[in-house]
Amino acid sequence: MAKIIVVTSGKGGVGKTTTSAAISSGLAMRGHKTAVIDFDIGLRNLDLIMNCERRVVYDFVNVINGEATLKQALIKDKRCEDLYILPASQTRDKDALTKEGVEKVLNQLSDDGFEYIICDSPAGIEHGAFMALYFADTAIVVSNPEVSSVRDSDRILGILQSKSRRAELGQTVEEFLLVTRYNPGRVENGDMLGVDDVQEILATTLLGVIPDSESVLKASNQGLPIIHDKESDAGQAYQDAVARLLGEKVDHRFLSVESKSFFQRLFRRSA
Amino acid sequence: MNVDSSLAVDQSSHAPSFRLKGGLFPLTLLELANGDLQRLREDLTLKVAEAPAFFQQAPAVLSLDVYEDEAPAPDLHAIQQLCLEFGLIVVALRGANEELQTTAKELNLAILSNSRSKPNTKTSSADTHGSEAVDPQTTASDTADTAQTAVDSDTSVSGGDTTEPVTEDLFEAGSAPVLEDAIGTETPINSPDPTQTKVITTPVRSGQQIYAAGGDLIVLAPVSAGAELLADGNIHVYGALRGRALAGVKGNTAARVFCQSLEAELISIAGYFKLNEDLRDTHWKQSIQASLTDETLNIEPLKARGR
Repeated sequence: MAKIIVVTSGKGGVGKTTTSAAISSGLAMRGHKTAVIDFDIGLRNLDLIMNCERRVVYDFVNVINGEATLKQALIKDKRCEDLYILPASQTRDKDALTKEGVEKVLNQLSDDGFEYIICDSPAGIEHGAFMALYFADTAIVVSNPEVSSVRDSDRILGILQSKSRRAELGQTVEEFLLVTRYNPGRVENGDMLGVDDVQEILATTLLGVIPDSESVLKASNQGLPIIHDKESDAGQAYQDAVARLLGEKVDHRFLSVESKSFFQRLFRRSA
Repeated sequence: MNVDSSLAVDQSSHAPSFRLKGGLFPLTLLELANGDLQRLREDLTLKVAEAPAFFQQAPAVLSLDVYEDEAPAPDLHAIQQLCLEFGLIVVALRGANEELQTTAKELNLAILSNSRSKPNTKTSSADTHGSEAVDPQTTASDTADTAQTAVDSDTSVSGGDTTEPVTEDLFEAGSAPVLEDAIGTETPINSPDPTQTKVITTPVRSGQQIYAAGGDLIVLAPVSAGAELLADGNIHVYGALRGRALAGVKGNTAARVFCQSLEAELISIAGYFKLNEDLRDTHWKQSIQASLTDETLNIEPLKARGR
């Protein structure tokens, strides 16, 4: 059985798609056969981050409606042997997703030997987000270190543990917190919530802290998942997060200002 | 229906006709001061006018714990009928002498053991709360144990419907309510839906609402901002309380709220509430209990007492 992992947050713009791309790439780089599905029907983004937008022929909704086979719709990643992308439809809306349809696709991926299925959730707590999280075994909740993002994450954790399929079966969804856009300098100045504060409020396992970095934006615009950038703090932090997701014990890095390099301080000044 | 003898058989046989389950129910305790029916009628009229909804088919225990010694013995039948007029169904009698117990049996009333503590139970139970809260885990398990005792004792008694005198008694270790005798196995006591203390072990998230109908709510995890806890009885939070907590939502003014770290948006007891901005001034992020006296919500720190 494939492990279904939803990347969700409630709030928009916190880095769900960036995280989905990085985590799925990271798993595939370690030799796990992985599929990543864009659930943001109507606002297709994942294909851009994964740099496969020119190869999209069929999409997730086509497969659900039986207009294309899964094989036709899956796009093989050019960098990772074991990674496949199932893009969202840009012309439909989120109501095109049905529980039965999503389940059918997930089951088929599982039957095809995929070990991990990453569901990139849209923002919000409406139908699209619900469909993305409903079948999840594991959830990666992405949160920025600011109060509104943390509260939305809290809300989505509540929905996960009460409305998902596992919750309906009386089981729990394994939950992880990923803090993104973390700026230790601003935390020290008191402008930003510290990771301890976020973790205290959300009371859940910390998967990783991704430092705020220019390289993330640059990688997104180039269509290169940040995890491939082994020089950057953010790329390394995602590598660590993938290791922890697979059960390895890795110390958290990039939490304090001291670890900042000279170049990053330069970047911050120009930002 | 002979429950006692059929119990063992039922557990092993294939198709039991019923199941015996323990249940804890909040019951109104009507503490009678004397047997003056005229005054009882007047006072009940006033009370019902205050909260009409509260008296709709509500089960009640008639308590004689504070009955005046020199007053003539109460006419149980008349009192029962009078209460019924006002929507209170008297289901049991507490603190009665043998003579009255015989009358009670004829009236199909259950007999409850006398309360251990003397009339001033409120203060003593407050002490119990205060000292027990030093070790939250103990309190939680004590409560569970006590509840278990209640269940056990109920199981040994005939009659599927069980009664529980008052929520306060839950916290007096060893004083689990015992039905000394239960009559009316043929005509089960008309009690509301089975309810008991609700225990939540996972974090209560923003947007979630948890209601403990008819009993206490115990949360062994943090309660997030934007979450809402409701209980007919007390609310205990062994973690940070950042959301809203509403105890005694059906009007129980003796209900309390306990929490390990006060960071709440709102605390309410029987409709009297304090908002975050009023709570911030004192005992913020401390272990507290909230109680109601004379329509004022008090927040006091939890301290060990007498140890």
